[in-house]
Amino acid sequence: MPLLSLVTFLPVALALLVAVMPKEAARSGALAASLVVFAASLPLWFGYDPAGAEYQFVEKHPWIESWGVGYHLGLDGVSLLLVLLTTALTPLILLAGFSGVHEKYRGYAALMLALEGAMIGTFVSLDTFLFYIFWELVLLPMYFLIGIWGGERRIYAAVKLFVYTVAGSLLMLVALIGLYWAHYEQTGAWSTDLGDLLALTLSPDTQKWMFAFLAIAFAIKVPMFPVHTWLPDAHVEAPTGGSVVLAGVMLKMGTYGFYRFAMPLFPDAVTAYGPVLIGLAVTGILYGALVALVQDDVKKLVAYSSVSHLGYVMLGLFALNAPGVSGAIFQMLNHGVSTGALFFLVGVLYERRHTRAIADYGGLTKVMPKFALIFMIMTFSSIGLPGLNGFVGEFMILIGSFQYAPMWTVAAATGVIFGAAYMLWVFQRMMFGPLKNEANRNLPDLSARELTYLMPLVILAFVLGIYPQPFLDRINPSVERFVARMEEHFDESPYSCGNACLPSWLSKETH
Amino acid sequence: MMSSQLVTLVPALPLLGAVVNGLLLQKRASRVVAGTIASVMVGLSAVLSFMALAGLMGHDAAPLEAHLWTWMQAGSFSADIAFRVDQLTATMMCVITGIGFLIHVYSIGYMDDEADKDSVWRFFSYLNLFIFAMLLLVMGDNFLLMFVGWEGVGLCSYLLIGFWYENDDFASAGKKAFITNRIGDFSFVCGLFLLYWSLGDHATLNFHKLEEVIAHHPELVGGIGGVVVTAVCLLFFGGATGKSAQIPLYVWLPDAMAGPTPVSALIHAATMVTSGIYMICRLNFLFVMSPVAMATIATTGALTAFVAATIAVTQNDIKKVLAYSTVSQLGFMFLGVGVGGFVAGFFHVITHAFFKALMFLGSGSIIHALHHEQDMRKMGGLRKYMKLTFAAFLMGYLAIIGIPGFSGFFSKDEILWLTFITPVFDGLPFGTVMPKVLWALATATALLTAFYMSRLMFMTFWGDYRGASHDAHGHGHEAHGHKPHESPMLLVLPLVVLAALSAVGGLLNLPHWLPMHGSLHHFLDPVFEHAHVAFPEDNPLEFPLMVLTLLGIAGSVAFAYTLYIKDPTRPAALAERFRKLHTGSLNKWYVDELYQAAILTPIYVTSRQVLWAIVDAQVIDGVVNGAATLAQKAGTAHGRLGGGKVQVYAIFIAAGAALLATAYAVG
Repeated sequence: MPLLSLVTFLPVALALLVAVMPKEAARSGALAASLVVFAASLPLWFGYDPAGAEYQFVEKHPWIESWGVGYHLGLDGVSLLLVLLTTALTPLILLAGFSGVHEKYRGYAALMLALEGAMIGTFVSLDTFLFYIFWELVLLPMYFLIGIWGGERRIYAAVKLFVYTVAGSLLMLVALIGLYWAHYEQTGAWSTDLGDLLALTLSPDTQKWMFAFLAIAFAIKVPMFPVHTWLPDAHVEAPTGGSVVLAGVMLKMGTYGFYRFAMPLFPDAVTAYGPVLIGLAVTGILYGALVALVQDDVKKLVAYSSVSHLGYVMLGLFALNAPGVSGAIFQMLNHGVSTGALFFLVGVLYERRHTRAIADYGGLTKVMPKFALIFMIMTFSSIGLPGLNGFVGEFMILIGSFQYAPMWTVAAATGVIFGAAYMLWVFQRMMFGPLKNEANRNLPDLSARELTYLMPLVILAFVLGIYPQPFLDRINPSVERFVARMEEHFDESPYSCGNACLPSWLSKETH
Repeated sequence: MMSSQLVTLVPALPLLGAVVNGLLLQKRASRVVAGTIASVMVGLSAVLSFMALAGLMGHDAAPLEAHLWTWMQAGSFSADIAFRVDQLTATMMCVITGIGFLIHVYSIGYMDDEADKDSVWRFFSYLNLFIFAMLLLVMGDNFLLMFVGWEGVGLCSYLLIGFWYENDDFASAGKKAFITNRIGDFSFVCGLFLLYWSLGDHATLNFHKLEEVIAHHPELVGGIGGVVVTAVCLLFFGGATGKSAQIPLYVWLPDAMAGPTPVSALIHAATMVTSGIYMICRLNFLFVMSPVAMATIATTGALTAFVAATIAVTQNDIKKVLAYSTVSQLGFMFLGVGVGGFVAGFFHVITHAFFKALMFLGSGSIIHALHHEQDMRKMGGLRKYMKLTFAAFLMGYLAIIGIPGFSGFFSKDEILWLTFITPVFDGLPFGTVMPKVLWALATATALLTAFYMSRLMFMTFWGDYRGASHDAHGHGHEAHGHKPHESPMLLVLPLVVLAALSAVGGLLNLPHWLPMHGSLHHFLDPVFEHAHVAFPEDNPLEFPLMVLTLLGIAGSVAFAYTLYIKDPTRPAALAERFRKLHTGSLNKWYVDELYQAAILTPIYVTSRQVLWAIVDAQVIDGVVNGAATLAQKAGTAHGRLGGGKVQVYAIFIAAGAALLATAYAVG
């Protein structure tokens, strides 16, 4: 059975079904649909053999033969986890939408399912043309989710998201077409297949511009500093579910793009431009954390924290060694869990009080103890407390990146201080202290339904933190192939690192 | 002898207790039920810990090891969830669970406030969780598991300092503790990255393997006096300054007194704050390779000890005095390990755990009896009303000021003496003067200690009770009209045990001029086999210096006596005469204010006014919005399509794509 096609297109088909369902059945129908998709994706986890081939569940058919475009799907350990993250988050999002989405739930759920399919498509495509189509398709449901179900400035936010992404997409398209052309020049045949393109030998100069174009497109999606400003607006205006899917999955399309396409296709450009990207990643870590620190709006704070967290992922990818890259991939999962949960929690409060201003809260622990406990667990997960998920990824990334970019790593590690500062401060302002605001006195604690969609994330935060190895076992072989490919292109160190390397006095000789 | 796997139970039991109280029972557990569950768990852990300790007494007893599972692995990087219990670890385990047990029992009596009735289960759950984390810290066989404990105790400290979270100041104190510790942790992990990197193909996070690698390949970290090993050790020590409250990161500990008093005794005196010293002892084989790092540790320790003591002399809150005293005593421990006396420093960890836990619990007994009064100016004469508390407290007092025979005397005197004769700094600039200067600073601190502790004793236990008159002035506490009374037995019993330990704890490690000397030294020998420091023997100054110190201490006590008992008006007069010094000390030398003005405010203002308001909102968004407006105008110019703009963009995408494709195809 073509399992990958099934998992990709089942949500789209079910989206159409949900869209025409009777209104009364829409909620349970949509939830059931997403659970079916999740169930359909489980065989991927159990069927995937970590010691097996590079890509598994491969489907390869000619599609537009005259252009050399193929329908080529496949799954490595990295895509496997991202697909499962997507299929696992979607039911939770739809469940959360039961109360948050008051109007047009059917449309909301249908778009969410369509979005799920498109995102899965980007994670399993091994043909650049196919990838590009899925990449673009993701944008449309997201645009409508924000534009229709969003907050007051939803149009501004949606347009901003669109402008940014389209600008990136155009650059990506140019690079992909360039690559397509290069393949024709070298082999005399047209092909958009990733495998064919990886076999090309490109001059460093060609690699550089193509990499740069792709990197900008992906960097916007991540988002990296300084192309991150669409994110806070999109998050603030998006409905809760939109924020969760945005932070939980969509941002990973950017980092995944680096891992799957930009870096393996242009390894020489990676060693040339790596330091720039590392610099931007670290800037993003600190910048995101510092700006998060001064927010008055809790949702914006979480949004900026995403900029910071994704900076770690980028740093890990460009560490170009096993712990760094595996840590980066693992951190993508973590971020989906922790930040996804934080957006859910913000949504819980927003539904009750219709405000995101931190100053409107305070002392909530007294009235919402269960909420407070889960919020606290996720706060500590987000700031990388050992024993929870965030630590594993962060530590592996940093110990990896220290090898080739030690001073940048030290700068990045200060992020753990600022991370603790902004999260604990917002937690204190919202949850501790006296209950100042009368309007909060009778807030109900988490309902059974709310607990149902939060608990899986809480449990995952612990499992990923205490027993991450089953996940790492699936990531590692794929990452090792990636690292090996990169290592072919440098000897001692990928980067002639300038002042990012250790100062000269720190040599091993005795002084 | 104990099986290796049984060792796993030592941390598992308190974790179980935390889960039972914190997740299963919650409000259903009353104070007595929750407290009993928690105490039993820690008590069982203590029994197992002492069994482990006994098993390691033998001449060639091997460390106990238990491997649970591979935690994380990628490429050659890996870390396990695994325990390794050697002599050092076992001793710490006994201190943690032994004193921990006493404090758990004490807490059952202490946390009887009606207002805490519904949250006391939380208290015991956190307390158990703390013991669990502290045990991970000392039992972990690798850096990463130690770090779980290291940050885990920080988490529990955060939760317990802010236990009464409805008080914003208390919540702030918890946050301050955590973030200040994170600064130290940042330093610690950087040291770890550097160490791991420097080992290259031999890289490991396992302590035992690391010790072997360093023994065989000292050149990997630059050999003795190497720059890498110095940097690594200094960065590790940076971590210790956070957790163990040394300059410049000590500022969180006095604020941490916001937590319930048993917490101050357990976490902020006896166990968690000694983690830094434990860590240095654990890594002794690295630290001895760097005289510069050792000198930095010793100097920081001595300075911290002195500065904290100068603050303690003017504080009026009994817990603040004890807090600064703790910072000061921790400085002594660092001085000890810094001069190469690892066992001496560690011995002071143990005796300090006895007498400081005792004094914190004693102050708790007073605070409990006086209904949350902590101001010593409103105490006085308590020895008449709280005879047992007084007698117990007295043992702690005699121990900390170093009266011969009491535990503190032996540990402190050994540190002072080793400081005086240390050979560790010989090769460094000022290497011969430094020991004498540090000795002088430490001795001055010992005198200050005798003074401020005497002041505390006299203000609290001597004179007349001043609390009643305070009430008579009409602050509305009429219920306080009665005299203070002795605390219930649950509070007093742990005090008695700790008092006994404070009195005779010195037996653990008697000095070389007494029979049966150096037991702890011999026991810990295997741990420090690669860190032998050759202290010169038979120095004729040893006894004269000891006598000199003792005379100074007697003088300090006498001085405090004249000030606080003979003529209670003199302190005020003295304060007036040295007004600047007095206000400076009273206000903790304005260090918090300095940090606020020099670090915190600039970060906040820059982030808000520059990064967010200018870079994000104006520079970047300026460009983006400009582009968007342009695109919108273009869209409008070409006519509206169904009112939605997305179609316009969709067309743009397609058109642009086609255009570019053609361009490339042709070009």
